[in-house]
Amino acid sequence: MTAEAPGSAAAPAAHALDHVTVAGLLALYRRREVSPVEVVRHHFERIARHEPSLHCFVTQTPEGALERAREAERLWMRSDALALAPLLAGVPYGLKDVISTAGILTTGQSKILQHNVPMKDAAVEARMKLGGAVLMGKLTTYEFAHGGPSWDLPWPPAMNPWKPGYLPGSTSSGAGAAIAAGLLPAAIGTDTGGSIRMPAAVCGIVGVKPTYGLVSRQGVLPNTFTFDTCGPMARTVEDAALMLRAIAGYDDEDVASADRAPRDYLADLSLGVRGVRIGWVRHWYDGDANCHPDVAPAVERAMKVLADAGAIVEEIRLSDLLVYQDCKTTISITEMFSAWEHEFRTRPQDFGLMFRNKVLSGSLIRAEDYFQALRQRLWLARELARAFREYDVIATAGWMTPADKAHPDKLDKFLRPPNITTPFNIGGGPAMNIPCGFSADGLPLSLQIAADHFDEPMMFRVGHAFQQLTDWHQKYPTEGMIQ
Amino acid sequence: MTRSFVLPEPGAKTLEPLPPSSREDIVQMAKQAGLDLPPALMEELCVSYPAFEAMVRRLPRMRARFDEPAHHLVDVSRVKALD
Repeated sequence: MTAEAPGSAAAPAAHALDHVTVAGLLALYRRREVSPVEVVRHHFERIARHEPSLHCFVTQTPEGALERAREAERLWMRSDALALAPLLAGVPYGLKDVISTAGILTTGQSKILQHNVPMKDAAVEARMKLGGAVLMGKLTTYEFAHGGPSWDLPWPPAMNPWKPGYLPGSTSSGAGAAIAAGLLPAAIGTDTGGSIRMPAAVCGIVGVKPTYGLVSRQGVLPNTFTFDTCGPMARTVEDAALMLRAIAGYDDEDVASADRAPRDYLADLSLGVRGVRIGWVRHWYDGDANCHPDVAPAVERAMKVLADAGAIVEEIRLSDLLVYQDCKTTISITEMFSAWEHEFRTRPQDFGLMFRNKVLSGSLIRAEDYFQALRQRLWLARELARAFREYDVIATAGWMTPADKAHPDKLDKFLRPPNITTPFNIGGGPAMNIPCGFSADGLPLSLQIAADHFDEPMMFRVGHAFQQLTDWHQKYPTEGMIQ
Repeated sequence: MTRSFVLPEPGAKTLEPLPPSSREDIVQMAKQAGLDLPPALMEELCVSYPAFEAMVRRLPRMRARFDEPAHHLVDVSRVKALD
């Protein structure tokens, strides 16, 4: 039986800005009720209070942030601000530390790049700057956005604000923890097999993997070239749509960038779900030995909420998760080893134990094995395409378990149990995790919604409708819980 | 009634029947791959590789000859000259 998060239902924000949303902030700015400088200072105060226990940041950028906040303040004070202010003027955010930032340390959370200061911003950061948003710092990840927490790196892994001693998921982990704790309203993460969606799931926030090619990866440290995506993390679906509007678009410096105009991600938000066809993949988690018992009932209740609102929900079957996982991991470790081959040959001991254990075997994958995995990938992507011909979205669990307990002395498994987010990386279309309940011991649970290629508007429409009908996204850890 | 969208694999044959590589095999493969690992890291590889080998051997083989791989670069006009 899932339960209310202890304390969260009766946890009004100590300060009006503590858990403010992106949309809420923009409304406050428009009404000139708060200044971006005040907002940035407030969030840095929260960061100073909670960072010693949460470890969300590799680098904080207070000077640059205040400078950008002052610029945004000047814009919002102009009489023509509504016409001129960029999309996200004055909104604080963080970047996962695999995203290059000109003049700011970009480590990939690795000794290999411990002192790396890029000359140029990644394309996604350039777009956030253009949108007027305020970079607060670089966020903790797992080494080169892969594997599990490694305790032998120069920076400690982030921790989950919902429960001391628990992890915030992989690998956009600092982003998930920082948003859940109210240190930031938004962040940009990366998702190769679920690295935006998993931390969103176990931290009780929204995480979006956009369609492959919709957001440029130019300047993002590679994990797996053919799967890597950048996407928004925030408290609400509306906030995620606002952020995607700022970062989506063609970039001829990214060879995988899709040369098509981005759609209006906000236009369909309020259309509701009446008549929307939802294919519900229950067999991936229900009855699976690796799935926590509180997950299936929470997802079933979420499906009922959507069905009661007029959606047509039908159970469907796709290939087993292990089939998707074998295909994806074979491709991933081969490409990842290729990306870091020089360093593996010259200074392998400088990678963390976790990364070595999960990637070094990529050196032994034969070319024919890699190509058989690529051939199977198209096969599986076609299976998903068949399903999207019949259904507007596919829904399933966001993750198989609530947050994991941190075990600094225990090595993560070489291969984890099959991952419920991976199929949509194989397919390439958009997928999003949103909060849908809590486990009996008060940890967030999540619903995953996926749509056909470039149909983010439909995915946001369903997710936003769910958030209008529930209040899971309005719960956050109390100050006492964040230790 | 649950609708299935699973496409039947045309060639479900796998390499699972092969015997697992021995420690000596793994060391030899690493040498052939040009890896010069310190002993402790070679030991790590010998411990971790069997899980990945089993994974790769579960992949279906024997596909139809025209069954192409998923292409990363599908539009050749996207290839630009570098400065």
